[in-house]
Amino acid sequence: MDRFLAERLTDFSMYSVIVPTIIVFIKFRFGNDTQKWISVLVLITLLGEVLLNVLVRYHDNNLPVLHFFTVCQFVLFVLIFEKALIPLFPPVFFKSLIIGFLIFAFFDAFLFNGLKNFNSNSRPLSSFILIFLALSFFYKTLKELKIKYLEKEPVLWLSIGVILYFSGSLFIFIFTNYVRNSNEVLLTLWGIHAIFNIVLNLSYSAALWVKPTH
Amino acid sequence: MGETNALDLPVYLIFFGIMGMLLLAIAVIVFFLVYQKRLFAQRESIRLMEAAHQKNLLQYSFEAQEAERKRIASDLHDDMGSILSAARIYLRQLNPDKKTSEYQEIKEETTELLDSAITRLRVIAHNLFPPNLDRFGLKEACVDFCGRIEKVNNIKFSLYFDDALHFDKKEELALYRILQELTNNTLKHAQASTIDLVFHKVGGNFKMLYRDNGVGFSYDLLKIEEKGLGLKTIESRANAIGAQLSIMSEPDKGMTVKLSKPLPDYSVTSTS
Repeated sequence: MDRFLAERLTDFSMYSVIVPTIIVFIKFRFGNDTQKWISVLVLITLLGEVLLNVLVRYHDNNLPVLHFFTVCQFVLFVLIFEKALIPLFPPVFFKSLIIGFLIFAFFDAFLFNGLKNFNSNSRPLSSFILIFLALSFFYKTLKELKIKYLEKEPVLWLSIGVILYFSGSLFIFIFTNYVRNSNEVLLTLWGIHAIFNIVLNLSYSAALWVKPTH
Repeated sequence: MGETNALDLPVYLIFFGIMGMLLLAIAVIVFFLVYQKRLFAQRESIRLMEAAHQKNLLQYSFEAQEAERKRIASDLHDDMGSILSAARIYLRQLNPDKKTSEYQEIKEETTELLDSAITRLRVIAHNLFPPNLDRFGLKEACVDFCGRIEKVNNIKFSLYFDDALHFDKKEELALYRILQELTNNTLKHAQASTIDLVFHKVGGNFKMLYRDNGVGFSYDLLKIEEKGLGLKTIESRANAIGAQLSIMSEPDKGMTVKLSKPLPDYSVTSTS
């Protein structure tokens, strides 16, 4: 991928978080509990994007931020899915996921990869678990058939975004450390990642915009 | 060159992996959205059909009620009306100038007519609501019913009633009416010589079997609108007490009706 294109895509991906952020400020008061948690997720994402890009502009290693961002993003996603997936899974399941992931991410940051390297263990693990939770939401929806107007359900849009983003980016997360010596390949991969990130931010926007029936 | 080749493999693997995962993700999402809409539409359709069926059953229930009222009115008018009119004619003929023998004859004729009216009235009242059902329960009412049918028709009943069965008043009445309706159908159309009737308890369920050896009919080929009021009434009554009904009949193979319903658990837990 052309360097210019990759850099523009990355910039566009960074700015794309502004769309859901604006919607947060417009619709926060009117949203249900799930949408309020999605709002928190969007604000954390915005903070993460700002920190990542500020550190890059000072030519510093911004990967430590990614370790913390991964954990925060994971915890918030799990809390959001918990509301949608009970009683398919009991509350203790979600608590265990969070605690287990925190421990694993800690080891990944300070033992396996290190803070200054890409978290190629915890990020893919996070991807697998979140894809599983999104698919579980689909399964629960099909089983119960309670939601008539699916397009008004915030968790549907979130699940679509999660599945597209984490499925598309999974191989990037797994292999990025493997190809880090080739700038061209890295640029291409993260250019592709930027597209998926835009999709994820759009899914946040849709999830915040819709007016749920309950 | 070797360094470049070592990177090529994982790069293609990564790209194919990304595309594969993305296509799979899109397929899953599209499948989910389409399937959910279809399932929902199907459930909605079933719900509407059930609502329409309930409405039809209610309508049939009203029709059956009206038909019953018409029959009672006809019985009262044709039977009772004519008997009592004849009795009145005889009584009008009574005057002190009549000879003792004529007086005696008129008295006997009138008494006979009034006896006939009372008997007929008892039959009508019995058909309306059998006194045995309220006083002695379903088993005695069935025994009495089968006996009366056997007396006036060339048909033999074989009845088995499990004493372990208990029903509430509403269920007893519904089951009795179902039996009346089925027997009515058999007498009118089946030309049967025997009817088997079984009420038994199987596990936690009540099962009723009604079977005649009549001419039968093609039940499976009957459309809803072709079903007589009797059959619809039977379905309606079974539905009202939460029972499952199945009717099986083929030409020359008689008719078999099975009814089943879970029994409530009347077991008493230990008390201190």
